[in-house]
Amino acid sequence: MSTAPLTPPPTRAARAAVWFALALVVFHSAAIALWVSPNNLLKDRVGYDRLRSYVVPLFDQAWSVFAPEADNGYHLFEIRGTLRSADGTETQSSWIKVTAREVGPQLRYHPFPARTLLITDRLASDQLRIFTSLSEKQKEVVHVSGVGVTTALQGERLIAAAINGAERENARAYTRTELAVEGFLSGIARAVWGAEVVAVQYRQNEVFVPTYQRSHGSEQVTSGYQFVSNVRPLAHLDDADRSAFGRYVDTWDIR
Amino acid sequence: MIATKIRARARAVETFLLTEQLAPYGVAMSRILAGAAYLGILLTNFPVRQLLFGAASDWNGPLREHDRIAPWAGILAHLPGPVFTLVYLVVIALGIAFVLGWHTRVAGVLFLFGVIQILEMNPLVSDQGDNILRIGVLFLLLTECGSVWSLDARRGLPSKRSHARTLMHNAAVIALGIQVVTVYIAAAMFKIPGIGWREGTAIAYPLRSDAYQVWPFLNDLVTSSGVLVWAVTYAAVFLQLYFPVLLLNRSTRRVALGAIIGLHLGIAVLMGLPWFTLAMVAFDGIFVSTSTYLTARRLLDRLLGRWLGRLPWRVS
Repeated sequence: MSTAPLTPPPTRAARAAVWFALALVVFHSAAIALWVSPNNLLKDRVGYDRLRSYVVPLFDQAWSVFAPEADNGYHLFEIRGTLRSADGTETQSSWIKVTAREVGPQLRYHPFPARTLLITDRLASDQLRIFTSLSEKQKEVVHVSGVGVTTALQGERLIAAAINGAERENARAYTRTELAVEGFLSGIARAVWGAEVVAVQYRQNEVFVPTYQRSHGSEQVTSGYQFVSNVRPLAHLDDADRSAFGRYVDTWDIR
Repeated sequence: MIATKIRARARAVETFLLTEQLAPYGVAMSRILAGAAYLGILLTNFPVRQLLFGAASDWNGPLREHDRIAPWAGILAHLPGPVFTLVYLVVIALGIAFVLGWHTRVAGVLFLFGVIQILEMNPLVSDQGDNILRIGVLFLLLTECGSVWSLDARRGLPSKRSHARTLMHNAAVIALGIQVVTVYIAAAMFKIPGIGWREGTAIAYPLRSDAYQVWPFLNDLVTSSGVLVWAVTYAAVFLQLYFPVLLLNRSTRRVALGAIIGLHLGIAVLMGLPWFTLAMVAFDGIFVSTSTYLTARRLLDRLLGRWLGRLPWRVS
């Protein structure tokens, strides 16, 4: 485990340094162990903010991986576009299962997949999780957002509907996620339907593996739609966006 | 009498930590594998680099601004596409230098800084493999991880060993070892309350989901046997929970390391998580003894003959 000893013999200062270094290691390791442990009395006593100030950013980590329950599926985003023809008439496209183009085809028989396969699963999961945390009044704001209401405007209404700091923070978190959802799905919509698409709508549900004992195959089942967005204007896309999304969608068997 | 013994033991610890390097081959192996894991992430995402991290990743801007690990981890935002590609390629080149051990410390520092900048452009698609790589490589940069199996060693650079550097190396190795053990214990503690982990069915769910099926026939093979599902599920929990105890004895250490590496390889092949797996295996590598590494190298030398002798790791 070790190499040949160094000479000359260590000085007294060097020997003292050993204990200082070991104390640092113990302090660091104890802080990390507390940070990653499940909630407990000692962690509460030390305090989240105090621990965070030491651990974040360089040593941040979380190891509740596949726990307490292992992942049993994914969130599926579907989008459809509002297409405006040259004479100004508008029609709705059919729905496209975006996530199904990512998690399955990009992984199956690809042992070294790119991270694009995670995008809409995680966006959908985050969006639904944060939506669930909104107050009933805020959820109503989302539900009544009609055709053309932008995410930014909806965000302002969500903050106005908040009655305390926590609800305002939830409103901001929800708007951040919605902006990312809108931006990504706008890029996909533009790549799929071209310049005709002027607005986009999305909905999501879950695809999951049924209880193991009752399952006799690898069939997965789909939940009902858990969220349907309003029809919203396409986010701004520049040349770089259109080019990158176009190349990405070109890898799908969709058009 | 007892005080004398304690003083003698303390003096032996001091002398050891100031004069001998722990796991010189272990940290070299960690350097090679952790660098390879980071390179794997960069290379497999190269075709979609602009969409994920570059000029076409503004869709992710609101999340990036809020979730990135620190204000300094955002300097690549708004770079034009070709400039971002150039930066990406430079970081890949630094990664290759780090893996090969060419100007190891300088290359390693620049590589880690660069790869953090790239990955932090899109926290949405990060995973815990990114975290353990960042932390582990940070510790490796405090060690003498380029002293063997490296181009630096091949070039016969004069040894800069001193008590201070040896102590820093050893403290970093100990901290990294504790970090790895902490990961496993924490992961087990979070699993234990889960119904699926207690019933012994947990691993069947991801293996049957499209989100984790690289080779569906292999996943079907594993999940078609209830006993196998139960055995692997329980083995995952107990192996993680008792990993530090198993490290204490030479024989059980070999069993534990073999089993945990096997578990990670299973995750890589069956679930399509190769770089997370390689990151974990990289840092497990510090627990493998120098004698085992040298024996393995002798065996490789013998198997592959003189061809292997021309490669950098021939230098000890």
